Amino acid sequence: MPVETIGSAPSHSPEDTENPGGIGTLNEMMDSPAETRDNRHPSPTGHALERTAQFLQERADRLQKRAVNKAHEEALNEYQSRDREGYADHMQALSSAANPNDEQREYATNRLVDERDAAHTEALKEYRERDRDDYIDHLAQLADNDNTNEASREFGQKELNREDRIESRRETREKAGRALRRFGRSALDRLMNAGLITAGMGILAAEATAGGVRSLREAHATRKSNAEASKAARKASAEAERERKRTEANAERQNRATAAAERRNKRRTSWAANRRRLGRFGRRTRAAGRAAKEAWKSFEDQI
Amino acid sequence: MNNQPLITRELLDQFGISLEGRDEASFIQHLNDTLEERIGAEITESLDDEQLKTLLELQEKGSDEEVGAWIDQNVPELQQITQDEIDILLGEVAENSDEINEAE
Repeated sequence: MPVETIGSAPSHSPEDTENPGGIGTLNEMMDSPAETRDNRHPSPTGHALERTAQFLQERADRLQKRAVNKAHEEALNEYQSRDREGYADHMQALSSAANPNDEQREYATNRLVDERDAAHTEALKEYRERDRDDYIDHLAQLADNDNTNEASREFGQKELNREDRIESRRETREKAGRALRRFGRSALDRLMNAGLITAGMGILAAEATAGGVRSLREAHATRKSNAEASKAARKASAEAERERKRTEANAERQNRATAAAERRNKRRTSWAANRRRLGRFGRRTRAAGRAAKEAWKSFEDQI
Repeated sequence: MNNQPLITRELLDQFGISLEGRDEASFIQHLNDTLEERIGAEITESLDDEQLKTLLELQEKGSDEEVGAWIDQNVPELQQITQDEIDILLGEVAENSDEINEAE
């Protein structure tokens, strides 16, 4: 039986003779004038290809845009570092230009705001370093002035609080420094009076005489090295002692906890035993009571 | 009470340090203050919290003699601590004596 030739039904096989170009020429086919006469739906394979191609194209566009933006950002940063005023003017012009591109305008406005904030912060920092008392007066006025806006008053108060904290820490450090110096001074006086310490002058004077200043410096360098080793050994020993005490204290706590747990377990065991004993006693008592009631009832009946 | 500073002009001369034309007195004072502060810091490091609290209270109310006596009794390695700090500081001065001379 001869195979009936099927009419020219759509076929998407790569071997399709009606589309000799096959898959590789999909885009060309889409662009060709014949497309307008081609009312076939894409096959699953073609559809997947279209989606993939579209995705790849969009991704390439995004990467391109990102690369352009990055290059633009770097160029702006270089501009900013090279000529700050020119840069600020440029951002100002960009933000206020009759530019149909809202994204660019918004970007420029944001950078301008950032730039103004940064410039303001730097100006305040310079003011503070130049004349701190005057700067603090300025903050106090800012915080108390009813004619300024809320944000400025809050800023002034926040910075005043911060300056108070800095001042307080500085005073505490100075007080601690004075205390430390007093301790050191007291120790030096006692030991020097007792002749127990030296600046090394006596011991090393002979070397200085014999070998000159260089020899004295070398001698002091050696003493310094020995002193640092001694200090390090002392610290290590103190740390080892602290660790030993910590270990002992932990062991002691552990022992106390174990002993307390044992006592608690003994109590609980004892209570449970008591409850059982009382339970048996209670049952016997109740049984005896019931028996007594029965006996009395029986007696009453007899009577 | 001996209030003689440990680091003196003569000592700096031995190191070959010359501070002509500069504020020599301030520099020597700074070295002595640094030494005292370091010794004090080591002393406080060697004390536990209770001892440190006691010393700080004594520091506010007591005399220098009382503070010194307390430290003497409660810091067993006081002599070694003090001598080590002296040697370390003088070693630093010796190492940097050229830079000190060249500094303006």
